[in-house]
Amino acid sequence: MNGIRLRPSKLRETPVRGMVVRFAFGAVVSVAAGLVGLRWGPVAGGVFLAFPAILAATLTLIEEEEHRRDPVAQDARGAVLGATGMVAFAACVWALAPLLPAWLVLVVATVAWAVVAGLLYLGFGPRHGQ
Amino acid sequence: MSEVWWIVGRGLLGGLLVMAFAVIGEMLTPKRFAGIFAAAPAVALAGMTVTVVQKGEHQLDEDALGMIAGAVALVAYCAVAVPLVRRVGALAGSLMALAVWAIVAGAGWALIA
Repeated sequence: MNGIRLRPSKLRETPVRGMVVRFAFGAVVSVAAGLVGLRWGPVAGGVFLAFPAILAATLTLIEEEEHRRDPVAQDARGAVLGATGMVAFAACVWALAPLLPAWLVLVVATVAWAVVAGLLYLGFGPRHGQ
Repeated sequence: MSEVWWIVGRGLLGGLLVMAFAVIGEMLTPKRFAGIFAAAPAVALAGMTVTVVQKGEHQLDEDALGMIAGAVALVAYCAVAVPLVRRVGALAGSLMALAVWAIVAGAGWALIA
């Protein structure tokens, strides 16, 4: 599909520190969203379920690893598509939560995220270079 | 489940899911496709799962309503981050773009609330 490749060997080049940073950011944002929800209610907590701290960490790590800005900008361009998929994820959960069991809602919403982001990539991603 | 265990569980699951999506992104090329996984719903999956376990299913739609506002703001954040990281670098660019996320998310939250 338009030059997309899965290369497990690339994991060996990934610094452990990068993964630890991502784990830490994921943990902190998850806890922070929960605490916001406790203090200001679930709608406010929900807003922070899409807080971009992890993306900021990822972009910074890519720049450190690659020593140039172009791959960082390409990653951010891809993140626009992933973020649009997140709107679909949230809308799916909102619409289906009253109708289906929670586990099924989350599975369907995750599939919706992947489908929307994937289709957007096919439509807009490869056309503008790597 | 006590509040402390709820917070610990939320943090652990959030960290693990973010790392899992990051691993998938690291293995993929081209970079633009891999970038999709930098904006994966990892934190949302963790938060919503723990919410359901702790409080039941009734709060899920309210979480999701707020998340719609946050996710629209994330789209704006990413769009602004692209030129910013080119111009001023990843750290400064992504920090400056946070202001855009905050404004759009705040407006969305005010609209919903």
